[in-house]
Amino acid sequence: MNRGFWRSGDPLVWTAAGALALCLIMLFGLVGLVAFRGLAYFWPAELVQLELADGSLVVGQVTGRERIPAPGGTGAAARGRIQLKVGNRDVYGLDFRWIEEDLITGWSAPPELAVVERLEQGDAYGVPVRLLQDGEVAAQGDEILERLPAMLAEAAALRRELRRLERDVVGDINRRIEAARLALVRLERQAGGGAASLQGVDPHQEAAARGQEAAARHREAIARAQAQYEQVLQEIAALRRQLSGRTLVLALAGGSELSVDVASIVRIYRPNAMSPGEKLGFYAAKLWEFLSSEPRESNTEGGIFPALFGTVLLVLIMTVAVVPIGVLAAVYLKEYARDGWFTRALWIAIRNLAGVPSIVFGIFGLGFFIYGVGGSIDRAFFPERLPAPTFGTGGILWASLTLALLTLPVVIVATEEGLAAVPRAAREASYALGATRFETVWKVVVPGAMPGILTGVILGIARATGEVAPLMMTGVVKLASELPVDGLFPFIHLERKFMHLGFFIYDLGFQSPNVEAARPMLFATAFTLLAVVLVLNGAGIGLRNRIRARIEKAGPG
Amino acid sequence: MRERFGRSVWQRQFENGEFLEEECQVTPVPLRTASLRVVGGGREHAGPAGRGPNAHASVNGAAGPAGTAIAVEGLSVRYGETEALSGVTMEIKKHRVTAFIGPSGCGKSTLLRCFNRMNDLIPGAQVSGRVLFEGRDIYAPGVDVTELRRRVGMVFQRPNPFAMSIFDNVAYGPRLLGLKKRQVEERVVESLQKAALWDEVKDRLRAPALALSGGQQQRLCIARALAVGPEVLLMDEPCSALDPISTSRIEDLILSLKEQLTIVIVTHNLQQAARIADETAFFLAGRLVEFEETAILFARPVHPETERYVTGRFG
Ligand SMILES: Nc1ncnc2c1ncn2[C@@H]1O[C@H](COP(=O)(O)OP(=O)(O)OP(=O)(O)O)[C@@H](O)[C@H]1O
Ligand SMILES: [Mg+2]
Repeated sequence: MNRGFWRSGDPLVWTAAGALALCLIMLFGLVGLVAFRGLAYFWPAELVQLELADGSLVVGQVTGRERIPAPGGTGAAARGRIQLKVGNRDVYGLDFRWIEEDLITGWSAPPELAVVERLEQGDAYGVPVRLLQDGEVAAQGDEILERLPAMLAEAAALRRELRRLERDVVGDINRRIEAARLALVRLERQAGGGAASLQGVDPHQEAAARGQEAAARHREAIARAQAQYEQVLQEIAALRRQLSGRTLVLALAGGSELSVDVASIVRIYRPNAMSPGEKLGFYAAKLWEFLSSEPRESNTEGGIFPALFGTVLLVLIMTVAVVPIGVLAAVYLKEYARDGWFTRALWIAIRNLAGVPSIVFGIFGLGFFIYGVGGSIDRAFFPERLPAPTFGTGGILWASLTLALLTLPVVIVATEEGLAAVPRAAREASYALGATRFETVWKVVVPGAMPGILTGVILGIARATGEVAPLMMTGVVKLASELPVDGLFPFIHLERKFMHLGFFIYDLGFQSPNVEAARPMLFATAFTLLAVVLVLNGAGIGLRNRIRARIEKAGPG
Repeated sequence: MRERFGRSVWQRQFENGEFLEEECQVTPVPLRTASLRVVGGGREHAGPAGRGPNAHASVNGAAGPAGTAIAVEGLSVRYGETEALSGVTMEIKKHRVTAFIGPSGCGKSTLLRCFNRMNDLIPGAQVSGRVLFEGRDIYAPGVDVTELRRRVGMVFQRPNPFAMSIFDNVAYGPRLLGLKKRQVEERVVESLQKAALWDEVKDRLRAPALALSGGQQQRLCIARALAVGPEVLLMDEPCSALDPISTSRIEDLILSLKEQLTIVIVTHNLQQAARIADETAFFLAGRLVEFEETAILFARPVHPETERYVTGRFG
């Protein structure tokens, strides 16, 4: 090559373009994979019926296909095998089966094949043949699918009622019992304290009498609540009886039959008989269920709503905590603190803090927030509940504060950059109008730094949303029975444990008893997490652009 | 230096035939009473109706019996090791336009920034000597700097509107004063009118100020400075970043404003100084060389340096 070629800079330009292309390929590859597999989860896949060489029949959904490496050489023709989700876990034991393509002799998609989504044991695949009511045949053939929807709706209503009784009513009773018990403990402590300084004076006896009266009242409340509890248990038993008694019988591929309790059916559909429009409607319904309902079957089915809610709430609390502290700290360091070795050392420390592994923040959160602050709160305000911790255990508040700490350096550094970007001339203009330093900082400098501050917040949110490690020490759980926000006074329960999309993914991918079955859910959840990051970021960027437009060059507004 | 300065002052006083009048204003007491009277008149009757005798005098370009707005006595400024100003003594008259000229780096901006203590913001700047505003030493302990800056406004070389709307820019100062919403609005309108910007922006007061043209931005900065009601307006090369048309608009503006306030302007444009200034001061290497009626300074400078500078032979 001649010198001119190198001096033109073309090789460098091509290398740079190549590097960018590589980044784009990886980015789109990853996002594309997650999006495709995540979104495909909701599509009603075709149910195929395969005839095998040995004459047997298999029914299932094709979930994968791979090459079998030819043993011993390159000459052999490439053979493939397909992965089939055969369902009916209670019959076959496993949901998935690998079938060599060579062995398949027939391939069809009979329209009468149905998918039965169940509350337990995963999907069942088969042809509905009979509907039994208390052992008697109630419907047969096509009639089944006409009668089932009403029954399923009824069962769903009963289940909701059951759930209300089991969770809300029983929970309420438990809380009342607990409150009364705690009141008793408190009274006992007071009485103990009084006995120590017993003087036999009238006021004390009076107090003791009052105390006994109150104790009796509390005991009575406990007894009442327990009676109520018995009653609710009976109601629950009655409901359960009402739910049982109906059975759907499916004909399976091998000729055997499977009985499914109608009460445990979530939905039934025949994917091979669906029109594209019906499939689309099904897709929407399924997506909505995914986003709005709670998980089942150790998180491998159902929805992810609690995790979605927990993630968003976590990030919101974190933002509320980190923004004021970070901005104030940066303003003080940049605008007020004298520039000396200490300030400079502090800046270096803050910048490096951003590189500390997040697990370290988790450990700090556990040690400082949970054991330190939370433990002190418990000792000071909830002594009667000890040794059961209230704030002295992981909870969404502590997890949020830990994340706030984690993102603090990001916000501080971005704010500092934003403050530095406010021109000297703007400060001088303010001073020249008779503004004090305080007025200049808060009316000119900080508003001018707003885009920079928001950039910091956006970066912080992006980092915090995907963070899982510190949460595992500060209160995330695989399954939380209650959301941190509900209709129960005081409505926001920041001491509660919570679910999180990132942890949900970790749990599905590595801790699930049935990893194969969990995989589609895994992708859908990962995609949701990406979408949450995107939406939160988009909101931040939108806000920043609006502020920029208001303060910078823009059309008449 | 002192001697030279003394000579030029003497010369001017001699030619104007008002030696005695000038002399008696050096005593502080009559100065203060005089200033109060003039300031009060100027503020209450802003606009053509309120033209007092002083204003007439200035408009006519002839030296009238004007009071002293700012008196500088032996002022020296150091930035760390470098001495930017040494031993400057001068008096800036009320309702006059005073121009500072001189080669780059001779200390014009430094002197200007002493008048409203903007030098306080520069770490390492040390000021010695006295600056009297309305007879009071502004570097004396206990002086309220924010009040001083409200009374002595400043317009900078580069237009520096805040990154806010046009309205908020002008309203910034009045809001600092704690005025009510309606009063703030009145001040904004009035200031924009005074700065000859009202007609151009009245339909888009909520638009970002940074979307205005450079000349408009500079007039906005003037309006912003006027909105706090200053008695003195310091302008540091206000037209150096502007085109000729914007420049001439701002010059007209300066001439119309001098009825209401005292203006000190730094400029590198000698024609501009000749056009608008009543008096002109020539600085060289931190020293005040000559301070004179503009016409005289340009036509018959006493010092050879001044002559070389104003005739463009400075090298
Ligand atoms: N912030 C500062 N720190 C140190 N030295 C300064 C500072 N500002 C000005 N100086 C020095 O003081 C001297 C006078 O500066 P000044 O800005 O007053 O000049 P000027 O006459 O306004 O020049 P120009 O016409 O270029 O604006 C110069 O030598 C300059 O280098
Ligand atoms: Mg200058």
